[in-house]
Amino acid sequence: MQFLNMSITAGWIVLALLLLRPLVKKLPKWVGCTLWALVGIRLVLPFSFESMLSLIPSVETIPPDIAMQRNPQVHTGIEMLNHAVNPVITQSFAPKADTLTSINPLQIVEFIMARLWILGMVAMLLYALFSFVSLKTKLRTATKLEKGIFESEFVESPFILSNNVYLPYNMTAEEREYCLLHERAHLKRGDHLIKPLAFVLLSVYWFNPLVWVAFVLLCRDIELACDEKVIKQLGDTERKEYSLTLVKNSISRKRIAACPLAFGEVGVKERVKKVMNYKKPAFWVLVVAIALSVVLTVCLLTNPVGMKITYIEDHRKILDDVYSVNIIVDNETDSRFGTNAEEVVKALKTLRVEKYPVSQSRSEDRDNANRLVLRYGGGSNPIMLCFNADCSEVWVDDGVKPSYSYKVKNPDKIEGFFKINYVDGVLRVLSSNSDVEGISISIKGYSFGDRPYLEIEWKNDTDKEFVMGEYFGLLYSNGMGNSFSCAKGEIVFHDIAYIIPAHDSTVMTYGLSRFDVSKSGYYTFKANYGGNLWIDFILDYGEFYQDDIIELKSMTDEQRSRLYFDGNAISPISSIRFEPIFRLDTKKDFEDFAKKYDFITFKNGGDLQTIIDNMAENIFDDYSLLLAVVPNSTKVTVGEFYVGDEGMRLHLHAKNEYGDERSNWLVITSVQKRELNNAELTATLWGELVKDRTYSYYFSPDLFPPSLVLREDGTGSFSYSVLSSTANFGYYKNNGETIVLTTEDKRYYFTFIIDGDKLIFDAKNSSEIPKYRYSENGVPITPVPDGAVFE
Amino acid sequence: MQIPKIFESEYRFCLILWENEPINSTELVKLCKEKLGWSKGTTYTVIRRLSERGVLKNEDATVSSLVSREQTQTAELDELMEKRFGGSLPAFLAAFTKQQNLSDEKLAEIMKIIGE
Repeated sequence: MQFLNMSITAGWIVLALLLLRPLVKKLPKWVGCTLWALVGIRLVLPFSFESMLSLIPSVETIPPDIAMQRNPQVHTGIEMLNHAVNPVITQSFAPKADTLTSINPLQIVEFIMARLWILGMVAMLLYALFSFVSLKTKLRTATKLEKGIFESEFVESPFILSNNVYLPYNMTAEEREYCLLHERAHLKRGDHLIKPLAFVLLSVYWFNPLVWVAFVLLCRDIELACDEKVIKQLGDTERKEYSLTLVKNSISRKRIAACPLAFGEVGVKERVKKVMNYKKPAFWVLVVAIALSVVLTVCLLTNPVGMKITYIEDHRKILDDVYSVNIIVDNETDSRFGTNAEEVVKALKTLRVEKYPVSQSRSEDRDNANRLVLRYGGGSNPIMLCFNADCSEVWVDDGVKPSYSYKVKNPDKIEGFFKINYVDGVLRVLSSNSDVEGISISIKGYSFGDRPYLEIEWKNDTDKEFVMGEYFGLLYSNGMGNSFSCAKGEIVFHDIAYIIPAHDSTVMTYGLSRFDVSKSGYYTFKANYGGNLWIDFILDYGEFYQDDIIELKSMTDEQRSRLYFDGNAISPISSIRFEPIFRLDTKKDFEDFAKKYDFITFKNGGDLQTIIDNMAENIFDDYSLLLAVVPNSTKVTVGEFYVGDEGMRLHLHAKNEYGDERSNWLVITSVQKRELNNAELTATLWGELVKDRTYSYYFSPDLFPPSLVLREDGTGSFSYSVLSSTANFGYYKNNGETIVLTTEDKRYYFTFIIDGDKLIFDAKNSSEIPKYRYSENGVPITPVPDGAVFE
Repeated sequence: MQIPKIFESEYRFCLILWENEPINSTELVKLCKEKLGWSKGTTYTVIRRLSERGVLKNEDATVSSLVSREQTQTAELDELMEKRFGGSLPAFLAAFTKQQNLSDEKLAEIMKIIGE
């Protein structure tokens, strides 16, 4: 595929040179040969430098993944050409969506073309090999005339083969002289190496007619340049003799002899004319020739550079005039950049964009979910700079008419702004399974950041081709045996079939934007093609979220004073009672800190050791944890978190409604390490503490101790048996002596008598609890008898 | 007698042979390498080809010709005459002498040779 693009790029050069040819007739021919070298270089090197002077419209005309695109298009770099060609391509090659399963046509085309190309190349190289060998054989009986010069009856016109000159018999001494001069000139110029090399390139790029044109013209130019070299040394009469010899030795062979460099095979008329009209070139001509070569090299050999974004659609001055920038990610406005426009604008100014737009007709494909909105200069109408999901394309929308899309050359500059504060999940595969004989799947890559996807490799070990499509499902399990689909609403699959050939494999990328993968837990990727295939994996976002709160055992003043920011006991900077902030940069830091300050519980459950064990190893690669202690409060709201050049600021709004002196709450937030070192950003965090208490009856005959959970916000749930399919969820009232839990649908109620910090079940004032059989011959009994003590 | 066809390069080989025959084949190979630039394999191949055609014979590693130089020359002249002069010797001689600008003495010399 790369070869195709390279040959198209080279094709542009050939066209340019063809156009120039009539103009440079006056120039010495060796210039021409050097220019053809440009074509050669383009065909060999896949890369090049960028320069503003590049005349190449596009270096990647055919996108490498065109076979996977729904609306396949080419980017020739010339608007009109795109416009003319793409509708046809899309029409003929877009996979049809209306039939039940349609094969992606471009996959087939690609397959066939790849085979054909190799065939053609091999054929040409074999032909060259054969003709070389057969010629060599015939020439074995060539008789030596001098060192390096042979005569043979098989030679019709002189040529060079492996550094020896071969002449026909019966040449006059004079003729021989001229021929030798010519052939020696070829040798001196190195043409006996250039031509075979050019032929190899021709066999690789045989499918591009422009390359054939270039080759033929190259051969001609070589001969002409050679003549020139010879002519330089001859006087007028000698020149006449030389051209006569030329005529005498011309043959009407049309075949392109790849190996020998024949004396008379190319354009005799032209050569004679040139010889007779030769004049030593004036100095200025040489200067022009060299200058032209340099200019053309730069223009044609370099790749087109990216344009700076200031020049898109005439919005020249805008970037200098921006006063506010908002970032919209996934359609939600993230106003953290509200007034910090310079940061974003600075990055935007380094953005480079391809000179020619991607395509005019892309507006319906545009992803408007990610945008930068710049407000500038005078006027309240924002200019919207829009990027697609992976920041590879950009366009400008002034609210009236959106511009063309331009391909972004360095998306990493801007990507960072869209990625702030997303925690990337880490994936651990548990098992991969398949019901389908000979077909297996495995996870080759993934991202669970802001634009989640899975890369699944499908391996076909059977002898037949395997047909599959886009259909798949993602399930989430809460670890208690129940799986739920993660789909956010309805998922529409396109009916496109993909073929995996026998004993082959392919990698499919499954975007997960329509699935909820925000929770850590057990997931299953599932597909069904002639049977079930699934992969079980764990997704781990690490244990810390922005609103995580940990309860500490009571901290002494001394302990608290030992908390310091970044290892230095600097003056506290938190605005709430000036409590210091502690920073943890490695997992060891966290372990040490946790052990030192004796963490008790996490809001989301689990004890310290489990937390540490399950903490993703690499979460500290990109993140540091910032901890702020808020003493003596039970309700903490984090107002503002600010990281800047002067340090960090954590605004906490803490309320102490319950007067619970036990509490010292630690607010944890994770921050991307790179943000600690540069940039200013403001983030809004909040955290809310919700206490709950669980009471369990441990003496129940049931397999699972019945439990009553009472939450601070007045909700509660009572589950009395693992055999029961209901967990009674509702509201409870604490009237001092008893606690009564009423289910949400108000059909059931359960009363518990308060006894210190225990609760005693009052069956008489509660709804009936079903009885279950707990042994082989047993009588059904209730799991929660009257008087059961919950603690 | 129908003289077998000999290519130009083979003719040069024969020249060496006529000058040095009978000659041991190894010697011959050395000579060919020196004078014609032929490899050992090439020389042996040519020897074989020409022996198949009946131009020479190779017995006990000794090579000797079966066709003499004069015979070859005559054969070629015959062919030339046949092709270009309709088989007419007089026509050929006329063309030849005209071409060569012979002096009277030379002419007389030639007539004498022909007479022989």
